[in-house]
Amino acid sequence: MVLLFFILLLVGGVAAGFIGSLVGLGGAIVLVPLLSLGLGVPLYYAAGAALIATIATSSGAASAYVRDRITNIKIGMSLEIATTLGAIGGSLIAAYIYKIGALSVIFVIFGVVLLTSVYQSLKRRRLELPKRMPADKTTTLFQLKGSYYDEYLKRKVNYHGIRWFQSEAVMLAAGIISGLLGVGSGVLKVLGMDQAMNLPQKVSTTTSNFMIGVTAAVGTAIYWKLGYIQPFIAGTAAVGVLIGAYIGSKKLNSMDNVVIRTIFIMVLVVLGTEMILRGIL
Amino acid sequence: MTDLEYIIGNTLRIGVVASIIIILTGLALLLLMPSASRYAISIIASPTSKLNSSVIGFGAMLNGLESLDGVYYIMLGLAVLIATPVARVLLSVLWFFQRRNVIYTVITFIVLTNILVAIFVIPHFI
Repeated sequence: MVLLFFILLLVGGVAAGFIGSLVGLGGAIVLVPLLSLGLGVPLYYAAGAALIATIATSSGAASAYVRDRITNIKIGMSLEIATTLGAIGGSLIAAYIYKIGALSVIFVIFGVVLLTSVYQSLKRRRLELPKRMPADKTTTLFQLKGSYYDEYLKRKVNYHGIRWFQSEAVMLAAGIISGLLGVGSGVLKVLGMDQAMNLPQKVSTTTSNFMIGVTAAVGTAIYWKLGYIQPFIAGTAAVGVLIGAYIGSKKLNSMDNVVIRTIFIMVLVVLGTEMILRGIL
Repeated sequence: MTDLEYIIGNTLRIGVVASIIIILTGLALLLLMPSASRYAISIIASPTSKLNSSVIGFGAMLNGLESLDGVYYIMLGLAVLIATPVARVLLSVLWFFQRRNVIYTVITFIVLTNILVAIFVIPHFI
């Protein structure tokens, strides 16, 4: 019984780490339903394991993405100001939101936002790389130029980020949502970098992957104190996630941007539906 | 080659490898010498376990590690995992400061402050 529980936790972790590292998410979307619905783990332990899994996905894959120079460190760091502030704010108002019974409303709103963003993403789905847009003032001020070698396209891709302030606003929302709900920070980060900053899909994925570890670290002390982190569940899942993220990080750069975006859109649909259901039920 | 990518990549790799080794040590200890743990394996590995981070606490950590209690090794591994992204932010502050990149020294310093406040101050208000 213990062995079966162990194996399922490990396998679930590998799946979460693999998918998360390919699309820039923490893997809560895979782990929370699997643990709570599939293995009968209470929601708070599932949330704690998902938070640990997010950090594991981030560090596990980012070590490769950063070395391969796909991640844009400056864009990631500059956007972390808003994600960390948002996460602190979200965790502070969480108890109040819960008390006035508005948590389910937030789940539904978040789900609707995700499902509506599917349309924008679908329009860009066939684009191998985003259409070039002129640089703006923030491109220079925050040093948002970058390049990476795309192993699928077999060439160096030059790009630059635009609309830094708009993107920062999306990141603030991403931080608040993750502080409140314990999920969703990665999805909004990818959307913000993809649609506001106009970055290539692989740069959005890897830079989001880079950032989610820091956003999640903000929540850990609170989760630790509240007792959401169960050593066996979180520890076993973390080992699985690290393995899955390692495999994913080896695959990403040789994959077609269109395929990565398609996986991301499927995640948007699943997570959007999951959030609305959690709000209603 | 001491560019930021190299430093951050290595910091993350060291943190990840260290935490995975410590967590696996903990799991192996629980498997091989379950009697060393203060808790029964049926309690530790239950989905609805009463054993969690609020019970374990850092005070008993050293004792637990010394007596080869697997639970404490897993918790230490998780703590190392959590500390890894914080370490890479700290190193970035120093790197940008050394390069006199004012705007990114300020940016990374703000991020570091936010994290430290979140870890050491905010829990007192929850």
